[in-house]
Amino acid sequence: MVLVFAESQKGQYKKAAFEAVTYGAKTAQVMGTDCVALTIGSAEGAGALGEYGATKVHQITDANLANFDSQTYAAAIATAAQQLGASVVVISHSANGKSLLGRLAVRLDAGSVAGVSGVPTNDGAFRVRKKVFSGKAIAEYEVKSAVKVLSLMGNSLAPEKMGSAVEVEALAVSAPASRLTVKEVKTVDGIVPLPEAELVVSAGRGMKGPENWAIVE
Amino acid sequence: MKLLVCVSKTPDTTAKIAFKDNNSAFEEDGVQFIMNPYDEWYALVRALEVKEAVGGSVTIINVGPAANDTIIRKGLAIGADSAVRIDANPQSAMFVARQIAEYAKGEDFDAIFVGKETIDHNGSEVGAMVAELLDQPYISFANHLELDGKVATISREIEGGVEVAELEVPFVLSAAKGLAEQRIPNMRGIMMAKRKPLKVVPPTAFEDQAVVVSYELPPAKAAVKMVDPENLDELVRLLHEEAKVI
Repeated sequence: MVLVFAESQKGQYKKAAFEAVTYGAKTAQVMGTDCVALTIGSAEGAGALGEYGATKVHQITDANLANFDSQTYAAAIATAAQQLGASVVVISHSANGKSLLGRLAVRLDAGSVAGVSGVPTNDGAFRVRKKVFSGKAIAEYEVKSAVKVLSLMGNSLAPEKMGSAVEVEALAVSAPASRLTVKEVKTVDGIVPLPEAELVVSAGRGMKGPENWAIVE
Repeated sequence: MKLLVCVSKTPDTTAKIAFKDNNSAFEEDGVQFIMNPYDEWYALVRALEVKEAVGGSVTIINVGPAANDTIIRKGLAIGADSAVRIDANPQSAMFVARQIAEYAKGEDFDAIFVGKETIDHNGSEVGAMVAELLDQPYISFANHLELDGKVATISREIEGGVEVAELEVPFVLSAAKGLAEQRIPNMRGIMMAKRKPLKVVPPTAFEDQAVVVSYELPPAKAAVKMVDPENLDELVRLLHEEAKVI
């Protein structure tokens, strides 16, 4: 089974979560198994993850997971993966995902590949591709472990609707207490964060001054 | 404050990327190697600033062959007090993390700093792995760090903003732009670096579970199309019909 951690922020799923579930569903097809989504907390519309290929959505609710801490989140996701018998765990290569991947690999004794950009192949060997050398080359990795952990690079594939909404089932997983305290989260609403942008427009001296920036925007 | 900074050797940012042995290995001939910029500019320099403010020591650690001593000596020239090299070819993030964690277990460091990623494999995995192996908190992509005794206040980059967290030592931190300003080693530092201790440690056995089997170069990019500044209709047509962005 392929388990996808669908990351949410402020109770909402972002594009990266739908990309990850789509990727998980395509990976599950390659492996001849199901894709199951995992969500932490009470994000709105978790059942809609089924539209992107998840056959089930499991939800973990624990007060210790109120704020993101890679240690507590990794503990919960790894426990869920073991309980559900996941052979592949997919997460987004987001700021949080980058701090989860290594922890999950250690906890699950798994081979991991960070920032994958293609759906794996599984004809005798599990292989997956990612960009390396800052995008100047592509590497193909072979993952030999029984459990594999992958983080999906943003904008590597478009979210694809291939199913219908599913019921959200509670999953009894408890997380350890966090050893850090989140004091403040400052985000700018109403703009697309750079990592989620489908298109980045670069403009420079040719625009002459900030008064002309609106032309680009 | 006893600090450990993990440093990697990477090809220079301007290096030509090519492969050998049937595209299974990076072609190192003619390539200039440097200390990974995120390790040097941000992780190492911030660790040195902390040491200068509150006292203690900064040790740098590298997993690699003897050829890596050049970049290790640069770290010592910038100001680290001592260095450790795990004498092995780094095969994967997990291999590197296990070597670092194995060494750190016996040393009781207050904090371990890594760069946010290396500029060759772009993985961003080692910090989290080391933290998990040592059962310590981990803050990734830190762009600001303040210490008050044993309590650290760290801000980190998240999508569309920043998050500020407070935690006690020991912890692992990955350093992003903004955490510190690059330092250039001076002549005194370069001379002193030659006399600073560099300990070579044999590696711990570990079998990699995820290995690179081949590399390839991406397809060549299409040539840039220049459009006459007076010909706005053509610019609009290209953006609409070819680039499909408007």
